[in-house]
Amino acid sequence: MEHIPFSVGNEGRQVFWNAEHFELWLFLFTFVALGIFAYGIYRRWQMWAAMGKPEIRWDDTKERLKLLLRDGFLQIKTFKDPYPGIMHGLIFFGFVVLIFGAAFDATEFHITEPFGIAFLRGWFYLIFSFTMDLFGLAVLLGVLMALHRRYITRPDRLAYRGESDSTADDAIALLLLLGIIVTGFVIESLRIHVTQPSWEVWSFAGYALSKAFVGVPAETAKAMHAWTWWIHTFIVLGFIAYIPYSRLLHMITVPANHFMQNRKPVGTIEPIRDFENAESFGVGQLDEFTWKQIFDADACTKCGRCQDGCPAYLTGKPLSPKKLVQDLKTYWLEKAPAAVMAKKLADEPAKWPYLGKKWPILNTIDFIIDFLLAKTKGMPTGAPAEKALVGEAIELHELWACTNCMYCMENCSASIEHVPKIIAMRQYKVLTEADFAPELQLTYRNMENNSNPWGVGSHLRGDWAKDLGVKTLAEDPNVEYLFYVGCSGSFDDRGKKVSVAFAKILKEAGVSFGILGAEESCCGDSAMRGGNEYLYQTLAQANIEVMNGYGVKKIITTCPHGYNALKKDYPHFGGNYEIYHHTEILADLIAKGKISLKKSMDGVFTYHDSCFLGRYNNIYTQPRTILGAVPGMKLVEMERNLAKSFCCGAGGARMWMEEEGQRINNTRAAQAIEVKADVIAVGCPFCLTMMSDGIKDNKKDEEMKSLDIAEIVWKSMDLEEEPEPVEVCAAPAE
Amino acid sequence: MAKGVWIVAEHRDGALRKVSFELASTARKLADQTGDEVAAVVVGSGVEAMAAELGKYGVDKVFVADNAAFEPYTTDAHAAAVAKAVKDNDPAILLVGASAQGKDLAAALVGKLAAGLATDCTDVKIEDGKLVAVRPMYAGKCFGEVVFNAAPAMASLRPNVFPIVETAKAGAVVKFDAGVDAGALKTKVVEVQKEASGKIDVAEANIIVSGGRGMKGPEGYGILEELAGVLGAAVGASRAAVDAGWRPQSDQVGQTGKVVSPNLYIACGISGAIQHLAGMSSSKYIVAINKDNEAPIFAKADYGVVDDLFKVVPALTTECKKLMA
Amino acid sequence: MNIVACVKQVPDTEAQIKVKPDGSGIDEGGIKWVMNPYDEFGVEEALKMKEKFGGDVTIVCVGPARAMETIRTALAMGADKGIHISDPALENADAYTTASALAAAIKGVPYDVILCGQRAIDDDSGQVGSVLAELLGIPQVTVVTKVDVDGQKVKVVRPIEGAQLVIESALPAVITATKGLNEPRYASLPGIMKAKKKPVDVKDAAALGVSADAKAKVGKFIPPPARPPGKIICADDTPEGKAAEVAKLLREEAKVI
Repeated sequence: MEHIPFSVGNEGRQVFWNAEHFELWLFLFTFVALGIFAYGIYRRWQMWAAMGKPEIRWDDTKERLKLLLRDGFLQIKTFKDPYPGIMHGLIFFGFVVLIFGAAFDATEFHITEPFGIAFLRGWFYLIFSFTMDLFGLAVLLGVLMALHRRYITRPDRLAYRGESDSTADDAIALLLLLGIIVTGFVIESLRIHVTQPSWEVWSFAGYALSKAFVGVPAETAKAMHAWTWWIHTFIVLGFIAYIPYSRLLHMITVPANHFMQNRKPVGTIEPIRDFENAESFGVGQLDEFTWKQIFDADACTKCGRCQDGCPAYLTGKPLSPKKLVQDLKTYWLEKAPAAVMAKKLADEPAKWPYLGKKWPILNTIDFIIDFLLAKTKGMPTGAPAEKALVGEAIELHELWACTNCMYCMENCSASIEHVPKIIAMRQYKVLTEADFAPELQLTYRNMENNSNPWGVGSHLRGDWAKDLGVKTLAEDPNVEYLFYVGCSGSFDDRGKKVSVAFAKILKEAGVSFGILGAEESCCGDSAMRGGNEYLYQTLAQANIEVMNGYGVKKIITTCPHGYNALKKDYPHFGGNYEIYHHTEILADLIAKGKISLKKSMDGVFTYHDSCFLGRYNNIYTQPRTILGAVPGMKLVEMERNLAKSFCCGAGGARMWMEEEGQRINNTRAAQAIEVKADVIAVGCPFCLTMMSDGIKDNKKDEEMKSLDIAEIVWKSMDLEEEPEPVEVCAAPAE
Repeated sequence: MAKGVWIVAEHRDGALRKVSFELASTARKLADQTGDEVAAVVVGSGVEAMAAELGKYGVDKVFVADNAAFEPYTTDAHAAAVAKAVKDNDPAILLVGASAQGKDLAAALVGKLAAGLATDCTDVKIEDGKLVAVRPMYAGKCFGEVVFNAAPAMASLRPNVFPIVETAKAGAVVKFDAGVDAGALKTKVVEVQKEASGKIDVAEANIIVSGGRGMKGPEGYGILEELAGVLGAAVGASRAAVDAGWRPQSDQVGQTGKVVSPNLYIACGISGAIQHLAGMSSSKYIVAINKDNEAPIFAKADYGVVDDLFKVVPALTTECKKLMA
Repeated sequence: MNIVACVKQVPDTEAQIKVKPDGSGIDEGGIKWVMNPYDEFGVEEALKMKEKFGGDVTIVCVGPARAMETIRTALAMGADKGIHISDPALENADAYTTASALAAAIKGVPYDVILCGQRAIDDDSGQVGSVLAELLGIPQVTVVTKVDVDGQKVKVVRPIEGAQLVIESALPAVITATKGLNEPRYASLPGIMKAKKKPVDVKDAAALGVSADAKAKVGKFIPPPARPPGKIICADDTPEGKAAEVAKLLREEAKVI
């Protein structure tokens, strides 16, 4: 091919240097590799499409493309964790650049050069060379980091209880990457060694490596170059062909999952609408998941971010979100072939499925491949083991260990939604089979009969406010805010103190508010998250009826569970209100100068993020702002905080269930002890109970305590005499 | 016209039970107001000797049905015997003990006699010459004054409530044939399992001595078991103690354990978390022993002791032993 | 094997019981009604027997219209059909009358076992099961924690003070259930929905030929004496002194030891 010779000022290189008569072969091999790739995707597609209920996750494409850009291309979720984030970023961005580079090469060689246009020349070529080497090294570094992490440091997240879950696939994928980069650099350095252009110092890595070939005769080097070139090409093509059959498929499933990620508020659970006619509720069989819920499992790269902060896993429970999703995937892989077959039969009922009218050639290929696979593996092609999804593939202990803390979903770099799957399977156990923990049955009966989990008489709900002059909406409906107190604030002795403190603050600040008193019902959060959707909807509807009856518009809660349920789930049933958590209100009152914090509070305070406040509702700053406004205190953070905070153990109906082994609340309290806190400040009554118990179990109740933000604020407002210590002798003995 | 105040005397292991004397004393008091005689029915095997003892507590006449078929107690044999005596003599009032056996017998008699019965009475009185029985209802949330439209007016009396008063009367024994054919009985006691260990299930106990985190360890429960032994009580535990492995799960009182309503609940070293209160606050009397005077349990307690339980409990055991001797 | 389980609707254990000002009864306003917990043990045991031996479980209930809800609850747990004896004349009926109504209804149903709760937690009377047995002329075993049916016999465990009796009875018999017998099941949602369509016969006193004349009745309801606020025991401020004071109060004031 004619071109102006390369020289200083017209720097460049001959694309496909030293590769003679390669084109036909390269095209042929590429065609085969792409064919294998496409066929793999097609077979996977069949499996994705074969099971699950319909669900639309491609509405509002524009917004979804933005999410794809953010999470798929910019890898924002992956970078939340520095080491693996950088590791993956080096490989990902490195390859993006290398692929663009290869595309430039190919474009010049196959498209523009035949027309006499060569653009990889001069300064552009030099920058191009430099960039390619730089990003090639980036990939190399990323791969080495990955190898080091997986095979040398071996963090627990790449295992389950010390048992590594690395497979040959993981090694093959990494070695293919390594092979591509290493052979790439060797090719480059051999070319530089032979051609010796002075400007190739810009290809700094290849240039440096070429020094290793000093003394090798040009002809030998050219032969070596030709061999390495083909090896490189085969690895690349092998890599492409391998994608659909390996963990590398995540290059497709994960971006797809980001595109299809949940766009509803965090933690929203779609309500069950038909109780009357359904025979089964929730998910008892794989097919009862939506196809997207199943697809989720296929997107999992078992990176273990979820497991790293899972309170159940870290306290020795059988649950690991990673394992759960992987078990689901394994189960799906067992079930899917038969489902694919069934679907084919359904499409063409009268004919042998393989040779139907639609796609006869593809169907024939499917048949041959299935046949060969069956022959080699001795595996029957359509009769998966009869194993129940709930109870066998996913064990009940795993299912019930989840606190719904949302750590897994918040931190998943593939936008997998674990919690709704767990709730759906719980729904099956509770609603369809009525087979669940006796203590939870008692809780539900109590909620049914007295609208609170403890079963305290429902007529006593408003009693905490008796002496405070707080009016009920029945007495005065013309108030700005409804203070929805919730069960803990109404019945639990500790919770009642929080309600009292908060009501006093509101009165002091001149906020117009009222309560529902005995007309209030349980919010139903524990019922819903424990799988009892029916009870939950009964309770929600009771509340909504009363609230709508009074024309309630704005609601304050002191409990994040009520906050979340009212805010996100009540709109499903016609309950639309502005919902505020008391920390939002308190922060606002302080900012507006409606209340002033005067009294100094000495000691070290740490704030424990409630999951339903933080991860669910992104309320991280207000509690800290409030505490920051209290004079005198020293605020320290625990190691696990904000979006990576550690759950107290009470969410997801766990509050009402027995906990085996190491307790989550004790573990969390120990984390507070580690930072030498005197007070664990919380914004949730469940956390309050759990932290108080945790402090006691750590035998620190003499020197430590747990307080709600409202209690701290009320104390610091310094409007009330310290109560006299309770008189030990009420009256002189007779 | 029905006449006379009757009692059914209860006995076990060859001796009259204490409730029988309470019944006799109460019957005497009622009979003195109506000007009637007091009669007792004793049904059993070899019971003639003990029957005479009832005279000491104001019983004028004792009807005795003595037959091997009456031992051990079965509802059908005893109810048939008592019903026969009642039908033959037509008393106006019939008092029974509200013990396990007495309640069982009294209810069967209601069917046999087409009578009315007030169960588990805490007071009985005569108004206009007729029996009025006062009894707790709705687990003690209200009381009912029961009046009767049929004879005999029956009441079962809660044990340990009515005073025992000695009034010497004849206590003349009258034997009668109850006409019970042992072969025709459709129920029989095939085994009596005495509580060998003396362990009583918390769910069934009338008195529970319960320990929590304040017991400091499994060895701390020794003093509770001693107190329970004296009181005939069961030993319970809070969730904290069970979680710590100090006590078995079956002893756990509370939301996630057993919900109990004994006559007396003695909470030792239990702070009173709502989970615990939910399981025991319907107890009739609650005693709390805790050194933390701010423990929520004191809000529920009838009697609170703010002190070191390791000193109070042994002292309480000694005192109870004295009182109950 | 055909089983009858008798149920009653009662106020929830936590319900506030307010006596009407004239003492004629209980103010029913705001009360949450539930199945009597002891009857629930009976229903559960009936369902267990059905699972083991087959047959039908019939629920029989005396109570006003609202009691239908309780029958449906039992049907939701798995019972097959119901008989609802509903008659204003039977309101506040005594044990004898209630048992007469139940007996009259049950006579029309084939049965091998009848299960009742040992008592209802509203009137705490504990008689109906026994009277029912007498009226039907069949044996009874009351307040049991274990039931084993074996052919035409049943063996039960009955706890009494300090001992447990193992009693054998011929069938058919009335068995009254107490806590410890079983853990009543939580109704499944499909069960709840199906229960709405199961047959329930509604009958009145006249149809059963039952007279509503009470043998005993509560002439007057009295609120309980106000519970004195808890006392903190002081005595002489020694542990021994406090213990002595508590023991004395338990003996003399509370009368519980």
